[in-house]
Amino acid sequence: MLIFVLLFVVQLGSVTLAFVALRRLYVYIHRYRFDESTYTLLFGFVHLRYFVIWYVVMVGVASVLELVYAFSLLGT
Amino acid sequence: MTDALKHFKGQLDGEVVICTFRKHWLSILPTLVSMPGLFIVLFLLFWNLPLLVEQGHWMSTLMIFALAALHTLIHRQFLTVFHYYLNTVILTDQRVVLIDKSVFFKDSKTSIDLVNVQDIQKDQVGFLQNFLNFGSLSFMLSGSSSPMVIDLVPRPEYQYKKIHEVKGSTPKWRDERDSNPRPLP
Repeated sequence: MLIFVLLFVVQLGSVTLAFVALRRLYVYIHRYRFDESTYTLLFGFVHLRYFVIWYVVMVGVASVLELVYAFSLLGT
Repeated sequence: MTDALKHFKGQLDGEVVICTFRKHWLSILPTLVSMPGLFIVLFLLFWNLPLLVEQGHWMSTLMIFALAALHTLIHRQFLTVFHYYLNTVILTDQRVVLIDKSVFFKDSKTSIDLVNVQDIQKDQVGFLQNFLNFGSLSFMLSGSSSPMVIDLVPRPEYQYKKIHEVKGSTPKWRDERDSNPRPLP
């Protein structure tokens, strides 16, 4: 049970951190507009939102993995 | 000027943004290279989950640390990428502003007034810098012995020309202000 709680705390902390980070990021970039062009984007085409999506996917997948593992441990 | 019309924090009234740029992608390359590695580790953990569950208590203890480390790495890598995107250099009609901002830990700003710039030096030395078209810009300031250097500048020739153009067309109100200083109280 202790391991389940610990895994849950790590997962919750991670999701909260991601949420706060993205909120702070979006508040800033919406307040101060930056005119993007081919010359300002990474490699000329990579928008910040691509990384945001990837970030959400990675944190989400890691959290799901952790949750599945935690519940599997409860079942054993 | 309201915040809704500003391009950066601290933009003055009537200050016009001429161009903006970020550091060269070489500054973020190590982070980008290591990102697929994280994805592979995540995939392998998922793939071997049934096997990991069957192991003893020691494995679950180990897994807590492994997963916590994985989460930390994911956040660290992506926050570095966000830092790269927020870290900008802005050339306005009055100054060059270096914004060093990250999501949580940094919010620094350095401003170089174009009136104080005596000379600008562009350096692009070595095969890599010329092949990938990046370099550094040094600003010699009046009243300062050491130059102000911006490194990893992409397309330095373009930025160099643009700064010279802006510096050559200093607004008239600045000349008037400098020739008629406000009397001291």
